[in-house]
Amino acid sequence: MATAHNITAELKQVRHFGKDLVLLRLFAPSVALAATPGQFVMLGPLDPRCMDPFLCRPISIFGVTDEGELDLLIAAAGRGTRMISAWTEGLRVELTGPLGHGFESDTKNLLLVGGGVGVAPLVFLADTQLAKGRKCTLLYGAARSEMMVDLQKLQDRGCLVKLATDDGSVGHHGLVTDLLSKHLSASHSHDTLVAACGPSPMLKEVWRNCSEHGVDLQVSLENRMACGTGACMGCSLLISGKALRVCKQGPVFSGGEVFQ
Amino acid sequence: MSPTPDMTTHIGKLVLDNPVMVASGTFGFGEEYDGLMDVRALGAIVTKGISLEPRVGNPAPRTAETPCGMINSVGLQNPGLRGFVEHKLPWLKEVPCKVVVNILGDTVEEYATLARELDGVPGVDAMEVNISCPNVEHGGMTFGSDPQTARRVAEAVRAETDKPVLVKLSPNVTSIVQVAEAVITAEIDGLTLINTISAMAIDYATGKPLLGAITGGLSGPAIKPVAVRAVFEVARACETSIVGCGGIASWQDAVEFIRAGASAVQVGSATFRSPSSAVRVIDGLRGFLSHIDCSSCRELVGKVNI
Repeated sequence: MATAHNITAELKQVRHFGKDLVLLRLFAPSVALAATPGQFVMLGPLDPRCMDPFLCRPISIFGVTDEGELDLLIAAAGRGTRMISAWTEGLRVELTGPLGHGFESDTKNLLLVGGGVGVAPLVFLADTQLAKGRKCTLLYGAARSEMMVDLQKLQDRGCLVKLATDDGSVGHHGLVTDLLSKHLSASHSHDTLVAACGPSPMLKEVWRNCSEHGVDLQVSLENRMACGTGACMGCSLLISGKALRVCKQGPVFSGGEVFQ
Repeated sequence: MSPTPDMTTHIGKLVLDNPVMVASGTFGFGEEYDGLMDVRALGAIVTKGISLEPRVGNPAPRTAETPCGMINSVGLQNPGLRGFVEHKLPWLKEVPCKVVVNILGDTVEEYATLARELDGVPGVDAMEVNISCPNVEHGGMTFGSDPQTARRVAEAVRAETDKPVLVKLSPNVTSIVQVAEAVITAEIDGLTLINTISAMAIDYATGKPLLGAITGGLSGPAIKPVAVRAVFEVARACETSIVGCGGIASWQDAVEFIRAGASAVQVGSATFRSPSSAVRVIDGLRGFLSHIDCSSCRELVGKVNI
């Protein structure tokens, strides 16, 4: 696994989508060039002059550029992420990464299921897989259209994107897992991997669908983290009698590891 | 300005190149932070607490951020003695800084066995005894909450090893001085003050506790004044070396603990905030000593002007 770095990076660009979603572009070559899809960074301290909030925030990597830039998608949900969403270009911020165990894909077809801000690692995954000439379909769900990030670039590169919203403001009126169910029932190649990231009820439903159709699944899990490096064991989940550190053994696990 | 000050410090028999360690539970087994900061610059690494058998720890969630700190209920997840010696110690042995192994048990006998087993192990420079765990044989009350029980654990460990022994005290007691006085009769090398403070946080909207184990231990800058007071009181009452711990995030914090009576300090959850926190404490402390013309960090110990 590539070595993680603790660096200070300049915020090059801040793009807002709706009022709750922000895409940060940081100049962080050592981190960006080492990153693989599914990995994350610990971002912070959020305010180096103030001990409150105290901890960094684990943020999955949305994408990287050849110029060594690192893209992070953040949903302003709590106090910390609201502070981040108020950041402006030119700010220098500390971060540690890339961290964790990412997706492992050598299949021809990739079916991605993202819920809310959980779409972030899937965009990075789609990006690298398309570059290898593989086929990608992204099913992307959110509460409302204004809570979605613009994925035109990914579509232009050949990724099929299907949307679902709870209020029907764009795409399918309903859950993203409805799209998955239809997709898997219609047809799927045996050489398909489903990769998913989003709220746990969504992941459970994705797992149910995948087991029903005998399709391999990898899920990226979320948890509160203190260190992000595997040191504190604060993000461990007790699964089948084992303590799995989401930050170290994950955040990407096989569906069977988590749900069986 | 004094030239390079002497940073060497003594905690009983344990001699450190500089007085800054990283606290148990916040630094894994060292390897996790290799490459993210200069591990080799540390005075000592205190490992995650080790029990005789592996432990999986508590249900999630295990951490909750609170004002200027955090509460954890990790529940002592660790690979057990054998897992530690086989898989974690080989890397630690190669690091030039001192290695202090934190040990914990359900019974006095388990502490004694751990001390006996680790006594002959090369690469283990000292042991730190965590007595903030429930005493399974006596209704689950923590060993550290009663002075005589705490003393029995310290004596049991002392009897099994010639290596330096530190005992880490819990602040969740009526008088930490009484516990300290009882423990040092076991002729240990020093005391680590303090472990986390028992704490709880609730989501006001859902009514659910923020931790799976409901309660946990508070750490971070929020507890620093409590820790400084504990160091100060114990230093005045007891003839022993003290390692100060609790909310240290800057060199100024370290100086405060040393003035209160600590011969060394531990940087804990500040490492989560910024991996190089402990290294910045070392550099800042050296700079401060030089600035005030102090030739050795030992001269500053207990220098509080009352």
